[in-house]
Amino acid sequence: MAPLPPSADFWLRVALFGGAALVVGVPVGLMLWFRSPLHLGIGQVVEQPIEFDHRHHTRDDGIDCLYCHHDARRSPRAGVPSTELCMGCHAQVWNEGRETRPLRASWAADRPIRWRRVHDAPDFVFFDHRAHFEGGVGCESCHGRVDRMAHVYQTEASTMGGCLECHRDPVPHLRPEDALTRMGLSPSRARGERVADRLGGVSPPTHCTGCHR
Amino acid sequence: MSHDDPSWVPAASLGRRSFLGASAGTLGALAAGCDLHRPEELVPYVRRPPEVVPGVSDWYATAALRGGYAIGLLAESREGRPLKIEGHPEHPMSRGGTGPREQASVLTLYDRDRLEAPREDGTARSWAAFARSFGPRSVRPFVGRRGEGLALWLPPSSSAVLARRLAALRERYPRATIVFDPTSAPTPRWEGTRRAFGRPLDVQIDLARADRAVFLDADALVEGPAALALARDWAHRRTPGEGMLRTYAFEGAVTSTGVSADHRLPTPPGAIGRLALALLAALRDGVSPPEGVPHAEAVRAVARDLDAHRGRSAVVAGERQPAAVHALAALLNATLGNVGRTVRYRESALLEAASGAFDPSRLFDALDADAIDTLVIADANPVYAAPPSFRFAERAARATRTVACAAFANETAASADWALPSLHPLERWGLHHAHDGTPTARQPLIEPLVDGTTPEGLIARLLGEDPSPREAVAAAVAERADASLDEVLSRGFFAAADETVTPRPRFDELPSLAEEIAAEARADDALALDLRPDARVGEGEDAENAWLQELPEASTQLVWDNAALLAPAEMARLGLRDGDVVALALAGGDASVRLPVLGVTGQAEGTVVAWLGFGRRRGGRVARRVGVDVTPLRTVTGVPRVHLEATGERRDLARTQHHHRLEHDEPIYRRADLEAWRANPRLAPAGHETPPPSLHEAPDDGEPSDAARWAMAIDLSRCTGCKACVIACQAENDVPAVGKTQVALGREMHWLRIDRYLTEGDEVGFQPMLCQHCEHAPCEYVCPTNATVHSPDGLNVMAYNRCVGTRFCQNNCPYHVRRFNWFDYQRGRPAREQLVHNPDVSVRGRGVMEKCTFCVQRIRRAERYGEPGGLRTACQQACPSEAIAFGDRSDPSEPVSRWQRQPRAYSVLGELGTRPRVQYLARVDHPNPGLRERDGER
Amino acid sequence: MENAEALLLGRPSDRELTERFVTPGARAGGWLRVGLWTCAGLTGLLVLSIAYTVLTGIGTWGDRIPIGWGFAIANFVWWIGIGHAGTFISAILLLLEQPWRSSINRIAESMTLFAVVQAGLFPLLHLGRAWFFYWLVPYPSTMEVWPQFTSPLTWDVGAITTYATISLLFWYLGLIPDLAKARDTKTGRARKVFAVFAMGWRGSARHARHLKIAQLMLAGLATPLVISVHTIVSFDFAVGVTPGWHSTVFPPYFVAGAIFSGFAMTLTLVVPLRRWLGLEAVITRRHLDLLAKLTLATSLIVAYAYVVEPFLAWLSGAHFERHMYLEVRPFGPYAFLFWLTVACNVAVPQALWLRRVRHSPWVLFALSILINVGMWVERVMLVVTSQHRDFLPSSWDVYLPSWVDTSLFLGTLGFFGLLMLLTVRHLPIIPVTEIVEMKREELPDGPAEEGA
Repeated sequence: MAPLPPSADFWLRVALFGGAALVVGVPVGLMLWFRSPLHLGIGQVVEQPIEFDHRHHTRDDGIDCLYCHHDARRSPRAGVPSTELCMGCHAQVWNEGRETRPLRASWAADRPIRWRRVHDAPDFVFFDHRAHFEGGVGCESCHGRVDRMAHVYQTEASTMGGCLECHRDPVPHLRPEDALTRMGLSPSRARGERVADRLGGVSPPTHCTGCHR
Repeated sequence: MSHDDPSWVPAASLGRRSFLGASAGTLGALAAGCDLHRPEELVPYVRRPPEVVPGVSDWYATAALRGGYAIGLLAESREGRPLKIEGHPEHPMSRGGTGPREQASVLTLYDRDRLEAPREDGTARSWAAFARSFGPRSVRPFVGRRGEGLALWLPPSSSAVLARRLAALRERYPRATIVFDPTSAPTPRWEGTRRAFGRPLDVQIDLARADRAVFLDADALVEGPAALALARDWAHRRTPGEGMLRTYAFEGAVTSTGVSADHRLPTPPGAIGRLALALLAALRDGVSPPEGVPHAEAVRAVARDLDAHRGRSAVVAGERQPAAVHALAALLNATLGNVGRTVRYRESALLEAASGAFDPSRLFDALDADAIDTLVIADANPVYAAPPSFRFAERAARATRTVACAAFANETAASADWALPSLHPLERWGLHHAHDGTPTARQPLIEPLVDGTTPEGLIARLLGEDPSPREAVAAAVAERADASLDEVLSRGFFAAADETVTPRPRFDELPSLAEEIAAEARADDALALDLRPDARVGEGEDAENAWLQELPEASTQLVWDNAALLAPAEMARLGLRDGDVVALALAGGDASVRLPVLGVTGQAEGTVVAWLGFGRRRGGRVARRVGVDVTPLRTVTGVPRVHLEATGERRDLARTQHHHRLEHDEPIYRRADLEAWRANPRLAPAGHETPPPSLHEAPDDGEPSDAARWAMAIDLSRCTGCKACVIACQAENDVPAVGKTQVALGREMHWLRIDRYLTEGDEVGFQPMLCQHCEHAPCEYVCPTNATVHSPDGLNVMAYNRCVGTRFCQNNCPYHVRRFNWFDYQRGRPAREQLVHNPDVSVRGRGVMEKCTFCVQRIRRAERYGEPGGLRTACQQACPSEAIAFGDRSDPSEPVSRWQRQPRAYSVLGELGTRPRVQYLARVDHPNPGLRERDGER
Repeated sequence: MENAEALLLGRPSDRELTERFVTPGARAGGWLRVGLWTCAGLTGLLVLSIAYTVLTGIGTWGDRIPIGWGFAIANFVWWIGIGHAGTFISAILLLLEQPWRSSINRIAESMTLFAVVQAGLFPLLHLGRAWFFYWLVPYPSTMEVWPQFTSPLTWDVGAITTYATISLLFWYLGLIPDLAKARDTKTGRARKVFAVFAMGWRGSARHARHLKIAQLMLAGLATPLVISVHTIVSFDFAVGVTPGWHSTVFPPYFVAGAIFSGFAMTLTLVVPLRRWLGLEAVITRRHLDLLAKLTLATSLIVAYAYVVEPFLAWLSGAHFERHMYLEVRPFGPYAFLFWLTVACNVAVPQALWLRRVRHSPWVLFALSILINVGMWVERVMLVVTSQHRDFLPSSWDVYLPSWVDTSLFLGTLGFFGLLMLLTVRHLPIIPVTEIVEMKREELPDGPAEEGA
C-alpha cells in the first residue's frame, strides 16, 4: 500500500487553524471597526460652503454660543443662524473679502446657505437641546472644545452607548446655568452634585422613548 | 399582491425621519465597511419669521366646510408647514371635535396630482393669458353688456366674501345666471319647512335639552354641518342613570346614528313618510293615519313616549328624505311644542338659500337655447356628480367656453376649455358661517403650493378687481364685527346675533302632504334605492385621499370600494353571496349600473344602499378606478326605485373584518339596558367578575411609584363608530395607506381600528381597538431583541430601530393590534408629499413592527413643552363624542381614573392576566320598556 | 429468499467489502445524473426566491396579520425534525451498542446534517430585516443592548447552532476511516483530496481507540440534543399565549414527531439507494424491518399526543382552548389539514404491524412518503390554524401561501437532495470500516482474511 503524502495533515492543520482564526477574527474585527473613530467620524472635518471659524468667533470675538444658536434654549433644535443674523454683524465688519462672499451672496439673492451636518444623529433619534440645557448639560459635553476648532468636527462617539454612558450617570457633566456655554470645564462630580440639588435632581431617561419615538 | 398595483397608493412617503437609510447603511457597512451617514444638509432661513421657532409647533384657527357651512378648526403648523388638523374647542359647531374628512384634509394639500397652473385644453397657461381671454374687457363682448351669456355654477356657500363678489358681479352683469348646486344643498329641508312654516329654514337640534329624539332616516350624529356638536350633546346624555337621553332611529341603511340609538327599527326609506304621518296622527286629533305603516306597534309606543315628553323631544328628518317628510317632522315638532326649545329654526346661513339660485332649470334652458357663451364652474364637479336628468356634460358642451376651477383634473375640469387650479382649504382666506350662523374666519396655513384661485378670486378676475383675498376678508369682517381682523383671526370666529325664529305651523298643509305620502307608497316589486354620499369620500370630492379610501366603512368594514348593500335575508332570497356583481336598473328608466353586493345585518328589507363618490373616471391617481359610479341612478329628489338582477360575475372586495359574531361566547363587547345596569352595575357575566387590574397588587410591573401611569378608558356608550379617531391617529403617526390588495391580504396598518360586533338580537356595537398597553404584555417577553419593552411610565413602547421583524410579538398579542411593514410602504414619494409627515415620529421602513404608542411623542413633548389644551392623544382629541379619556391613572382626580373606577369598566380579555391599561366602559342603553322590539334580557 | 435476519449477506472479505462499498456512488448510473440536475434546478429556484424575498420584503410571502408565521416556520420545524432520526441512530443506538446501526448511520447522519442546513435557512429568511440577524446573538454591541433571553427565539439560536456543529463533527469523525480507505483505493487527485481529509488515518489501534473515545463522547453530547433541540423549537410555540400553541405537551410531542418524521425520511432515502447502488448485501431487509418498527413505535407516541391535546383542552375548560381544539381544528376552514395529518401519521403507520409490509421495501417507501407528507402537513396545521382564529373574532382571517412560499419549500427539498446526492456520488456513503468491525464481531466464525 502506497505511503500517504506526508504533507497531508500539515495542510489539514493549516486549514483547521485558519478556519478557526477566521471564525473568531471576523466578528472581532467588525466590533473593533464599529468602535473606531474612523467609522464614528470622530475628528473628521466636513467641507463647508463658508470657511466659518468657530475658534475665531468664540475666542477672539467672545461671542456666546447662544448668540447664534439661540433656539437651544427653547427648542429641541439648536438651530443654525439665519443669514440675517450673520449679516447683523457682517454688514459692518468683514463686509467684504473672500471668506464672507457666500454670505453676502445668500443675503443678496435671498438664497439660503446650505451647511453640511457634522453632528448627524440617525433620523430615529430625537435629541432635544432644550432638555439638555434645562438638565444642566452644557454644549461642551457633546460638542467638545468648539472654541478650539477652526473647522467643527465630532469629538464624542455618537453611538447609543455613548449617550447611555452619560444618561446613566449624568452628574459629573452637570454645570451651573451660567457655565452651560463655557468651554474647558472638566467634569466634576462635586459641582454636578450641587447643580443636581439646585435642579431638584436630574434623572435623564434611559428607556427607549426617551430618544426613540 | 405586488405593491406597485395601481390601487396601491401609500399615504405618504419616505421622510427625513426614515431610518431605512440607517438600516440600508448598516447593510452597506457590513458589506463594505463604509461610513453609515451620507452628510446631510442644514439649511437655515435667510430671513427668519419672528413667530417661527424651528422644531416647535404653532396653532392657528381656521375653518373647514361641510356643505358650505363652516366648522371651526385649529391647524398645527411646524416651520410654516401644516401638519395636523384639530377641532376648535370654542367653536360651537366643532367644540373640539372633528370628522374623518376634516382630519384627512391635510393629506390632500400635499397631493402630487393637484392641478399646478391654469390650463387651456390641457396646455399650461399663465393667469395673464387667462385675463386676456376672460378679463372684463375681453369677456364683455362675448357675454353681452348685461351678462346674458355669462353663467356661474357654484357649490352652496356661506362665504361673506363670495356674497360681496356676487353682488359686484350682479351689478356689472345683471342678467348673468348664477346657480348653486342644488343636489348638495338641503333643498328638501327648505322646501319642507316652507310648506310647514311658510318660509325655508334651517333646523337646529338641541339634544342637550331633549329627553327623547326620533331620527327619521337621519344619520344626524355623523352627517351634516351640525353633526359634531350634536354628537357631543348626545354623548353627554349617554351617562347611565337619571337624565339619560332616549333615541329612536327609523332607517333603511345601518348608520352610526342608528347603531348608537336605543331603538333602531329598520324601515325602507320610502316608508318613512307614512311612519312620520302615523306618528303625527297618534299625537294630534283629526289626522288620519295612513295605510301600511311599518312597525305600527312601535310607532304607537314611540308616540306615547313623545307625548309624555312634549317640549323635551325632537324629531329629525334625514337629508335625503323628500320635502313632505321634512314638513311632517316640522309639524311634529310644532305639535310637540318643541319649536324654540329643543328644535330651533333660523334663516339658512347659506347664500341665497332656497332662492331661484338653487334651481338650475333657467341655466339649462339658456344652455339648450345656446344662449350661454361663458360657463364658469367653480369647486364643483357636476359632470361627474350631477343627476343624469341634468344632462350636465351634454348641456355644458353647448356653452361656447367653459371654465372649471378644480383641485384636480376631474371630469369637469377635463371636459372644460379652461381648467384652473383650485386652492386647498388650508391655502385659503375666507369668512364663512357655521350652521348656527357663527361667522367663522379661515386663514391660510401655507403659501399656496399651486398657482391657483378660489371661486371668490375667480369672480374678482372676471370683474378685473383685485383678487387679493386678505383685504376682501378684512372688509367682510369689518362689516360684521367690531373686532379687528387680527383679533378675529386669532380667535377664529365671533359671536353672531341670535337669528332663530319661531314660525307659525301650517297644519292646513297636512291633507296635501298626506296625499303625497300616500302616493309614495307604491306596491311594486322594485327595491327602494338609498343613494348616500359616502361618509369617507363624500360625492367624490375626497376620492383622491388615500387615508379616506382606506378607512373601513362603518356598516361593512369595506375599503377602496363601494357596493350595493342588501339585507342578508333578501340576499338569501335572491341567491346572492357577498361579492356577486348585480345589475341595478332604475325602475321605469334605462339607467343601469353593475356593482357587487354585500349583506348588512340590520338593514331594512326592500332597500338597496349604495354610496356615491366612487368610480371616478378622471382626477388624481388615487381617485381613479376605485369602486363603481352609481350617479346614473341618481334622481333630484325622492327615493329612486330599482330592479336588481344577478350577472353571474364576481368582484373581490377588501374588508378589514370578516367575522362579526362572538363565535366563542367571550364577553368582549359588553352592553346592557339601563334596568340591567341598575340591577348589576358591574355587568360582568358569570365567570368574568375579575376586577379591573389594580396598580398596587402589581409590584412586579417594575414601575417606580413616582412615575406617571398612562392609561385610557373608552366609553362604548358614547362611541358612534364615526372613525374620526382612526384618521386622526393615521395623520398623527404617519401611518401609511397600503392599498386594496394589501388590505385584502389583511395587512392594513391602522394602529387604531374600530371593531364591529353583532351582539344579541343582531345589534351592532362598535369597539375601538388599539394597543392595550398591558402591564403584563405578552408581546414583550417573546421579542428576542428587546425591541418592545415597558417604559417607566407604563407604556408598552416599540423601538422600531431595534426591531428585526420576527413578528412573534404580533402572534402573541391577543388583541392583534400590532402592524408589520411587509413592504417599504413609504418609499419613493415626491418631496412635497413627504411634508405631511409628523416630524416628531419615526417613519417606519420595511420589515419592522409598529403599533399604537399612546402618542408618546405628545407625552414627551407635554412633559417638557406643555401641550395646548392639555395632553391628549390624537384619537381622544378628535373624538366628537368624547368617548375616550386618557391620562395619568396615578392621579385619582383624572377623568381616566374616574372612568376606570366605574363598576361598568372592564378589560377586554382581562382574564388572560394581561392587565391592560386600556379599559372599556360597557355600553348602557336606555330602551323604552313599553317597546318590545328588543328583549331586555341581555 | 435470503435470510431476513442477517445484517450482512454472504461472506464478503474485507477487501471485497471495501472495494464494493467504499464509494458505491462512483459507479452509479444515469439516475444519479438526472437526480443531480433536477435538484440543482430546484436549488436555483431556492436562490432566486431568497433573493426576491430579501430585496422586496416579507410581503412577498403569504404571511399576514394575524398569521404572522406561515410556511416558513412550518418548514423550519419539519426540517429540523427530520434531522433527529440521524442523531438518534448515530448517538443513542451507538450508546446502546446496536450493531445494525452501522450500515445505515452514514446515510442517516448525512440526512441530519443537510436537513439542519435547510432548517437553518428559514428562521433567517423570515426576519423582516434579515441583515440584522446578529442582534439575536449575545455580543457586546455599541448600542449596549442585549438580546432578550426570555424569548425562545434567542434559545433557538443556541440550540440550532449547537445541533449543527455536533452533527457536523459526528458525521466527519465517522467518515475519517472510510476516507482513508477511499484514499488507499483511489489514485490521482481524488486520492490527494481524500488524503487531506483522512487526517492521516492509518487505521492503527491507537487511531481506532481515539476515534471510538471521541465518538462515544460526542454521542454522550448528542443524546441530550435529540431531546433538547426540538424541545426548544416547541417552546417557540408553547411559550406563547395563542390557543393551540400554549400547551405543556408540546416538548415531548414535538420530539416524538421529530424522530418519527426522521425515521420516515431515512426509509425514503435508504430504500431507493439500497436498490440503485446495489447495497442489498449491507443494508438488508433486517435493517428496513428495524427502521419500520421504530417508525411504528414513534407514530404511536405521536398518536397519543394527538389524543391528549384535545382532551387537555376540554379538561382546561378555557373557552379559547376548547374553541381551538374541539371546533376550529377538526371542523374549521383548515379541517382537511387536521384530518390529513391524522390519516398519514396515525392510520397509515398501523400497516407496519404486518411483517409482509415491513419486508417489502417499496411498500415501506410509499408509506414513508405518506408519513413525510403527514408530518409536514401537521407542522403547517399547527402553525396556521392556531393563529388564524384566536381571541378577537374581529382579527380572524385565513392564510394562503404565495408562490414564493411554495418555491422556497420546493427549493429546500432540491437543495437537500443536491447535497445528499453529491455525498452519495463522491463520499463513502457506506461506513465500510464499521461494517468490517461489525462483521468481525457478529460473525466470528467467518473465514480467515486472505492475503493478510
